[in-house]
Amino acid sequence: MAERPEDLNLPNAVITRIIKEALPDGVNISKEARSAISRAASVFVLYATSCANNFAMKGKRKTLNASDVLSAMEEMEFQRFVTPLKEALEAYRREQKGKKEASEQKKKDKDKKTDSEEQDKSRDEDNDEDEERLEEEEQNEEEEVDN
Amino acid sequence: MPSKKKKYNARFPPARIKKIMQTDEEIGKVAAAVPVIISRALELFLESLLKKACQVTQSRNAKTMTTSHLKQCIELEQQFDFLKDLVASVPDMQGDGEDNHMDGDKGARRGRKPGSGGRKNGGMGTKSKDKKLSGTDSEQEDESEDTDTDGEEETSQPPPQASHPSAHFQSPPTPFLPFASTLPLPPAPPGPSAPDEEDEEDYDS
Repeated sequence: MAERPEDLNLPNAVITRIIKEALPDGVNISKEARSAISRAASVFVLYATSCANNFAMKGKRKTLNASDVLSAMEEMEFQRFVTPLKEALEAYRREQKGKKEASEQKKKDKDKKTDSEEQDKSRDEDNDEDEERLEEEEQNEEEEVDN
Repeated sequence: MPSKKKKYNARFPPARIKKIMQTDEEIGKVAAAVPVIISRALELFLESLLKKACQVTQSRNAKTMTTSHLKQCIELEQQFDFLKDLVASVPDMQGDGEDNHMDGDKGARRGRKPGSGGRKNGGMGTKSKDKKLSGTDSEQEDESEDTDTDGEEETSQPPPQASHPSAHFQSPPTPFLPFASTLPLPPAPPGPSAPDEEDEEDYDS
């Protein structure tokens, strides 16, 4: 499916929210400036990506990772971002770990449930077999009596 | 006591960020954490840019942040150098004051009154009356050429200055200049008539 050009813009709602948060109460922003901020955000993403990619290439790696981005921030003279970004990374990893553990727990519970169901099923089958055996024995006894 | 501003948890969608990243053809695989970190970096960057641009806006005693304020902020801060191309086409700010933060194209337009038909003197020009008086077709053609050049004169005037938007300048009316006929004159009838009188008859007819 072909990408639409608007897919490469960042969501206006989020940008508006950040603008509202950053500007004091008395200050408004023109439409042109709002649009320029949105474009600046996209340019920042591409610039950071390009710098991070240079670090990955230096390390002879084909995959961009978090440490490349942190190094890129220092090169871009945004050193003060590094600490909050490390915190964000830790939070993300904790979140992922929590999700993973939750999914594993869910899987274990599911396996347990299926095991118990299988046990119940096998128990039921055993009971059925016992009943059938008893019925057969009774029939045999009746036949012997008839004879 | 005024209520505190609500603190939003702004988060850019990592999937969208990844799409933007991969518009660069050199980018191969990207770890899952990277778009999340860039999302957070983007929040910090926008906050920083807006705070600094806001300082510029307030220093100009303006209430609305414009692209000119952003441009000045980007040019002042070395760390925003990568955004210079983005604001290259934005006009620089003029003098101080709140009125100067219009983006250039919305200033008060100076010029003619509505209904003046695009002519300097308003209404019909003097030459349009003269067309009826002129005797031959070729004279009319000459005049139409003159009116064309008239239009060029209008456009070649220097652009109006924004300092006096309400002034209307009227050029003095052009004097009537009779045109010499370009066609060969018919042979003069025999008689003691002066050549000046013939010319006058031409114009009267």
